Amino acid sequence: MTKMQKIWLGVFLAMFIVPEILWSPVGNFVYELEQDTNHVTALRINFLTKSENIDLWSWVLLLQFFGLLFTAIYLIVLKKKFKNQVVLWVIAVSIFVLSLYVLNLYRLSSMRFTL
Amino acid sequence: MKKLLYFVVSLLVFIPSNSFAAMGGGGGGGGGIPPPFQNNCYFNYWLQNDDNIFQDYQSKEYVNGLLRIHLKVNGNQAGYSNINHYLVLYDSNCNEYFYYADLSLDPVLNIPPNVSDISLRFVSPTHFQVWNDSTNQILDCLQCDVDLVSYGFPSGLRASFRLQISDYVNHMWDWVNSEGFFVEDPNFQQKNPVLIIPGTLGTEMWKGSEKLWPDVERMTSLTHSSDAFMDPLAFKSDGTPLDTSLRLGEVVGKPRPEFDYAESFIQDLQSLGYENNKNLILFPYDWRDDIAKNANIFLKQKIDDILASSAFSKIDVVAHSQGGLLIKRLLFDRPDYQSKINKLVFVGTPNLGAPKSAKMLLYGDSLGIEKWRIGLDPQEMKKLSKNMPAVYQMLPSRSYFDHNEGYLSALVHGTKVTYPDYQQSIVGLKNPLYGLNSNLLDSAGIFHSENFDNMDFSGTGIGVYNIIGCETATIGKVLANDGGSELDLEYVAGDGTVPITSASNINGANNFFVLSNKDIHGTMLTQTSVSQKIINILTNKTSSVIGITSNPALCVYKGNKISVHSPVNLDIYDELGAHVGLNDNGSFEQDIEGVQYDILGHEKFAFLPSGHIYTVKLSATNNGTFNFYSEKIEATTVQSTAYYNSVPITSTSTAELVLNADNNQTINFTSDSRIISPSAILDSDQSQDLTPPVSTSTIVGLMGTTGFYRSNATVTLSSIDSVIPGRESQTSGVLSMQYSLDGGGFQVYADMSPIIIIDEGQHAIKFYSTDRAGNREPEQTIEFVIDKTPPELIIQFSPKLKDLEFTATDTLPSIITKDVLTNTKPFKVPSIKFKDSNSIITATDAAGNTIQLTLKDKDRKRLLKAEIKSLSYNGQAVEVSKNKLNFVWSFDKKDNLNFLLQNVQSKKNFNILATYNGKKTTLIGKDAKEHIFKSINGLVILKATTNKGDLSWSY
Repeated sequence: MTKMQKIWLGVFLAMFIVPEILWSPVGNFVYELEQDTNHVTALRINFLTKSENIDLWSWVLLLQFFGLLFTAIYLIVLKKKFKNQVVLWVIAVSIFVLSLYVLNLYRLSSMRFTL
Repeated sequence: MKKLLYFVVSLLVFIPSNSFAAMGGGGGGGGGIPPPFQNNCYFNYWLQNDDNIFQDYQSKEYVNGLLRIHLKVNGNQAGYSNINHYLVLYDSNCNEYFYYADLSLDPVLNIPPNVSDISLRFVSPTHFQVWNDSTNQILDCLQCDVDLVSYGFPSGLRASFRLQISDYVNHMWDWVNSEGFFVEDPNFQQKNPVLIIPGTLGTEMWKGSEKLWPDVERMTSLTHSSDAFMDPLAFKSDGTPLDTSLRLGEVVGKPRPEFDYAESFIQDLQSLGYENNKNLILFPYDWRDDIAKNANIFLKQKIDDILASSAFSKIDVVAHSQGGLLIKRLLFDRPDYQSKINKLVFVGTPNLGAPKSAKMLLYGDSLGIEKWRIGLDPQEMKKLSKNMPAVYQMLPSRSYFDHNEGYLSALVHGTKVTYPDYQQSIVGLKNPLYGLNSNLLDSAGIFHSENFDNMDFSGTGIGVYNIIGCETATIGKVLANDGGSELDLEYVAGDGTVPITSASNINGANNFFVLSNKDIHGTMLTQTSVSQKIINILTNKTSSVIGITSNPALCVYKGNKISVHSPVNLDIYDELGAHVGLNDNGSFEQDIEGVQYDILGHEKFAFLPSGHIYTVKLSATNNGTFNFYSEKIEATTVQSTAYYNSVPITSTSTAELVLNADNNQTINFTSDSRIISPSAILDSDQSQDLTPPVSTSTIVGLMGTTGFYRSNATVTLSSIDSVIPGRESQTSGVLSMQYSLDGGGFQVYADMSPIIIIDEGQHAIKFYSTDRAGNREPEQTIEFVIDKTPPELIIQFSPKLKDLEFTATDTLPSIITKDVLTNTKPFKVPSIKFKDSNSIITATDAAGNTIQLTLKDKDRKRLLKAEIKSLSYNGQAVEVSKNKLNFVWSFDKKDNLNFLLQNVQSKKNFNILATYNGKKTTLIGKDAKEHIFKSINGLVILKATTNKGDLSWSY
């Protein structure tokens, strides 16, 4: 891979990883979704988990979705640069599936309850 | 650095020493231990103690802001005859008040031998008890539970305490004294029990172990297909639950990461020391049921229970949405409960109702639990709400009309009308077409009496606070559609569900407005600003909260309401490309904060709050035309309206427009480069025009009988926009008239260019006009017939009548073969009318066309002969000098026809003479083909016919 290709791959991965390290948007959402309770709690409480910041939470999830999606696509575009094709495809497909999952989280997070 | 050090040292030097003491105050209230009061008030001459029976004063604490003094007994009470206790109280001027146990009562203070730890506990500022700390039970003695007020002590005193044992016989005694402390913790923030009453849908509903509400996972899962699992939530038509086995769960907390109804608010309260089920109580209730029933039975009982288990005589209440109506109802019906409420905080309460309830009943609502067409089905909510009393009780009330024009429009005889008052609105909703519950509509009217809606809290002694959303587009008017017209929604300022005029209608309340244009109603309690404001209210803090104001003038409700009326999709983009609208796959996306988007049928509506540059994209879904509106709204008033009337499109048309500050943007077609300017731009007054114009038609022509014309018809249309007296400025004026001839397409009617109809036959013209505000009058239809052709006569001799017989033919039945509008059988053409005055025979058709044949002799029946004298059509004589029409006849004595002469001649000299002699008929003459000479046995009757001014014959 060229240096530029590595940078782009890093940027796409960072779109997912950096928010996750800072605020765990996906981790928190999955953790809360998995709780079958009337009082879900966050894995890591931060400003994103506040009620009025759910819009921001959604946007970050969308950003992470695109980060994963672009990463998967870019890996496939660069497939010839990798020696072990099997590992490459397993990783790319896994990231793609993860991106779809994050897209679904975005869908759920962007609902606005107007009771 | 040196300067900083000097500054710190100087501060320390100049801080008075007693300030440190003051800084250390507080106990159970969380602020440290308050100091004893000043020595000159202190009961200091009883400090000695031999530690024989009593140890020194141990400690004191504040619990719920009230003093507890702990003392220790050594247990060696043998030989002593009396134990009593004193309470010494001081007012602010150090005046002393003594309470001491009545020695005449035995036992005055019964301390069991094995009890070592006792305490004096104030349960109110004027009420104390003596407790066994080991068992945490009140001691069993007559003087261990004392109401000081009944002894004449004022409240607000400070206290020290003395416990004394004495033996008056042997002159022995021992005692222990506490220092003097404030009975009430000066640093204590009073924490009355707080009762939280949630709103509609704010309580879990269960059927056995199955959660019916809110099971968001089932509603939103990708495999979601139906919301029918919620069907047991429905009510019967008599307003009672369909399934009585359902049970209430908890108040909805935070069941989902994206939906925090009350959880973080409760956590905020807990962080201040409130404890669940102790002084923080939630009130789950059946939000579907009658509000008065929930209030007067269940809420009342809840308050009783709280106070029965609390040292406090009052509670604080935080009521969200429908919860506000519950507590208000209870306090209205039971004024004696007003003294049990200390503070009452209303949050987004629909005091006068909310038009969104009407929308729920008429169209249903997904409650925002929907994304990309996966989620709660609006029709399910419509079905469930149909018989729920509470939903009806949240319809706008009578008093709503004191502050609003009306919330419901409907089509009355094809015209959109806003019901101007409560009663008409209810009658409108009772239209069987909507299938609503009439009984519940009536009972909702009884629930919202004028006195209830305008209840004044001023004299109740309750601190009433009202938190109101004021910047969010909120449904303010719904069109009850019975088909055929454009649907409509109108938005007003509010919190997304409750209009500001409804939420703010609490007399005697301190109003606070939430400065947010988000749809916050459902999560109002957990908005940081709202939560903080409520906590400030409960804890007597007056500090301001960012995002909350008491000045309604700071509310900014500003933006554009746009709507498109079929067959077009509406997509909205902000300057960053965020999108609201339907995706290519038909799913719905809502990514711009504050944008309100509603779809009713094929109509789309959106409110776009100011602060963004919006691009609106339109894409056709079919051939036809669409109407587009852009209303610029500031401070709840429509400043201007841009109206685009009947823009033609094909199914592939696409267009976009960028909303301008002056609202005169053009629709730019990207598919065919057309640029469409607004058909009309209205000012603020004209934008209020809700009344359609009225068109009239005039037909000019030679009129026969009603509905028939004997000439070309010229149809002139005219229209005027209706003016409501007193609201003349709200008349926008006529924009255009459209007409359709004989079932063809509509076209614009141009002034000074009347419609001229030449063709004979039946005709129909449909027409309507539209004003510049887009109000369209219902279609009118005029039908008429043009028949320019008079009938023709058939003249024959009738042996039976022994006279000439006249019949007629008319073209009308042949030109009216089918109805021009319905394409069905034509109307029945009226028969031709005859008038035979012996010498003048007149035939008149349905249109009034006449043919008149005049004979030379006036008495043909006596003379037994007839000869044409003249012939006229519609009064216009035609030349008949070249024609012949003669009949002569006679009878024998037996009255049998023995002679008949029939002679007809056309203008072209074709003629025939038929002579009958009683046996045979001789025919002589010529026609266009040949000469005629025939002799035929028997009688031959000629059939003479008028034909456009000439004569013809046949036999």
